[in-house]
Amino acid sequence: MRKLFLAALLSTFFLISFSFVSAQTPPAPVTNLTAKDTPSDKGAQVDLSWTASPDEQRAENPVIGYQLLVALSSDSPFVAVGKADAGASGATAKDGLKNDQSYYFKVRAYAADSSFSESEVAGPATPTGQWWNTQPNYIWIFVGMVMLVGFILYNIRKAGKEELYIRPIAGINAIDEGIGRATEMGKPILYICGLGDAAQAATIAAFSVLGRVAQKVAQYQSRLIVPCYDPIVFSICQDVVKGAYLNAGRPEAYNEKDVFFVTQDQFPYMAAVNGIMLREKPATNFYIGQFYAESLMLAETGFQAGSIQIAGTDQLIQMSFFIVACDFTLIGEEMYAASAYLSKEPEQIGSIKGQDWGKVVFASLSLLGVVSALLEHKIGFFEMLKKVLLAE
Amino acid sequence: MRKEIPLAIMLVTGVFMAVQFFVPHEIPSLIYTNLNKTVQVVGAVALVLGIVSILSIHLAKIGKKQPGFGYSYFLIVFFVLMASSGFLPKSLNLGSFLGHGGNEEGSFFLNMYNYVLNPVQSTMFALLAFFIASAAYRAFRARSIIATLLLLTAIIVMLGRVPIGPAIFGDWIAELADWIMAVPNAGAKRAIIVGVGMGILSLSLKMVLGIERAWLGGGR
Amino acid sequence: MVSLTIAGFLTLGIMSFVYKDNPVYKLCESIFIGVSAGYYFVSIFYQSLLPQLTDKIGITGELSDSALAYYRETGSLASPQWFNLIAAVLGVMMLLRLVPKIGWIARWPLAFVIGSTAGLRLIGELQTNIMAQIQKSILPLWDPQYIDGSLNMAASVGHSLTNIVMVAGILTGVVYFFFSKEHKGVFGGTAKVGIWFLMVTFGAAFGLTVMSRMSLLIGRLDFLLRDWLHLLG
Repeated sequence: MRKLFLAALLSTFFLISFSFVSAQTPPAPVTNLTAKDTPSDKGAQVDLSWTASPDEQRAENPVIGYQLLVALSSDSPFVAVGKADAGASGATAKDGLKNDQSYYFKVRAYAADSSFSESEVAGPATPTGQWWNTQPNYIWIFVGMVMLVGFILYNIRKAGKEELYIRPIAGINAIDEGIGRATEMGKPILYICGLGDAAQAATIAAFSVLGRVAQKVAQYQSRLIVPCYDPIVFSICQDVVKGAYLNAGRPEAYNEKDVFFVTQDQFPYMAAVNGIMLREKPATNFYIGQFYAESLMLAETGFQAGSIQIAGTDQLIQMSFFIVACDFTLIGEEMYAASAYLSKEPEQIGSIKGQDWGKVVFASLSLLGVVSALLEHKIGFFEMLKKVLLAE
Repeated sequence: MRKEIPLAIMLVTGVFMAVQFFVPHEIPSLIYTNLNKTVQVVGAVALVLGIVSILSIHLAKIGKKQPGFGYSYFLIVFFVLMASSGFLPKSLNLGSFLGHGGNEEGSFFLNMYNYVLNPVQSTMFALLAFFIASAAYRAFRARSIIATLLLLTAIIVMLGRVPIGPAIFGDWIAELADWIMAVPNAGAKRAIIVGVGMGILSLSLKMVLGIERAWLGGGR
Repeated sequence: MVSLTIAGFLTLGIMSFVYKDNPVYKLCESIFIGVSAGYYFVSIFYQSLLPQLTDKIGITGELSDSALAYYRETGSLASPQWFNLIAAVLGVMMLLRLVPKIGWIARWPLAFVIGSTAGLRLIGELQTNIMAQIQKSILPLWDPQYIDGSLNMAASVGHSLTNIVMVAGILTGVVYFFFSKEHKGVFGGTAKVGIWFLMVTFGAAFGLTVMSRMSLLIGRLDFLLRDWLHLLG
């Protein structure tokens, strides 16, 4: 009986000891740790990868995360340089690393009770900055850019040798009519370059059209009013209009007070332009550039003033307002093509052809992708093509 | 030289900014991230040019007593008041109604913003409702198939997005509005985006290469 | 209360524009423009000019200690402080526009600003507006839907028709924007379908914005009737 009691007591003791020891057992370390310089980056980063600790899934005291450790040599003290969550099999170490300096790495797997174990040392790895990004996405963008630039340049060169056809656009044909109308009525023309700053594409397109319009206005001896929203745009508009009057051989007719800055605030600018429309009663209003909420109010006030209105913008919502409220609207890309249409310069027309080639490629790739999506389960080639096009 | 140097600057900066996208190295990154500061400073200085323009026009109007010159007085007075109040020392007290100097809470500068600029901006935004009704009324005179299509779609989306539409016509109008927004609208929007993208890319290339020189003034 | 009265008066003055142009509106407009120009003058000075220039490089124009320290540590002059110096020089060049004889120098900073954004756009447009749209337009024209492992024909046809309409909208819209060919025959017919899709897009955008603008008007009327005149409870 006594022996039985002793055996039971000993077994219980061992069981308790065993469970106590189990709770304090640190987690197994990660294995197969590798350290490599992060590719296609500006440097000071190293990619670490490892096989996760098998103790992530254990019921008691599992691994809750990993700590990345770095040192300048394999036997100098390691310091923490980052963290990764449980389940991760890789991370990027970047805090405090410098380019062209070799580092050694360890990964510490830790559990909730702060027990941990460390991996073998990996390294040396030397972070460096790369001079070219070789990730697939960037390569595709580079290929696309070279192709589109090639299309445009080829067609610009071709346009210099032969006449290229582009179809007529109603809004652009109306520009001449609008200027003629203003001349006949003896009323001014109002030109609004929009609310974009000088670096925006829509505003640059507005400058191009303004130059052509101003030259015609100078030839027809009408008056052109250009109230500007942005101060840099104002500076450029002054140069554009002055230059156009010079080109038309009428520099003396240029009135610098007709090209002026109003304010760099949306609604005060709108209020000022509305006032100009109602007082000066221009025969023709041009709205070319980047517009926001004020577009409708400008167009409606222009209608009240009895003006013919020609608009062009690349903002979708404002396009819809201009279509409803204006007589002619240049939709999206038509605004960018307007300069080529008005100048009729071979390089400008050639660039439109190049854009059209780009659109053909876009439509072809889209169609190819659609066919691939349809047939991906049927023919392996299309499955592969779809993956490439969608960058999967 | 007056055009050649700006065109050369345009070419160098344009090519650099295009190429730096593909170059992850630190130096081009640094130049790119600091470029915004340069643009901001140039823009801020250009504002001075703009202010000189406003003041010279309105002062000339007052000097020549052109029609409406009385309003120019108000414009200049309020501009000077607002601009100078922002530079007054904070310790200067203009009374409990006007406020103190500086441009923080309780200052004259901020009071002008809160009681003059802000309400008028909100009012102008609200006026858009009147003008949108006026534009819609004119659009009702749809004279072509495409104008009719635009009008019908606008009506369906308008009614489908507010409770009164389904209350009068049934749930189908809300579902139709949602479908229009999600399907044909999204499709054509992409076509516009692609077209605009091509146009901008072409324009940017022409500018960098010096083919597009309108911004320089004086044409070719 | 006086402040609210001023705000109310200005609000009504601007609203009178809806009837027609009148002296009250002209007065409010002039005050509005003057205050706005003054406000932006001060804001841009404190938010753009002052922090970019004086805090970094000091009013005397010397490099700050941090810029020198950066150079000593790295041997590199590519410090943010140098860019602020360049920015200051370009800013002064812009100001020279006020001097007629040497005003042409102002084109240099303009070339810098416009050139750099043109270069950025070359890649930006390609990446976000062209290549991304190719990816989004790749949709299966037959999109089978399965429920509990078996084909649901109604849902499949619905999804497939949606994809067909979407792809048709994209492709016909692109055809409409094709400038090299006259819109005649089959090509013209496709372009016509494209403009129909575009009109649906514009109608949807118009309809969506109408309601949001109405809510702004309600907000202003609420201010006038409730906050200022206390006519509403």
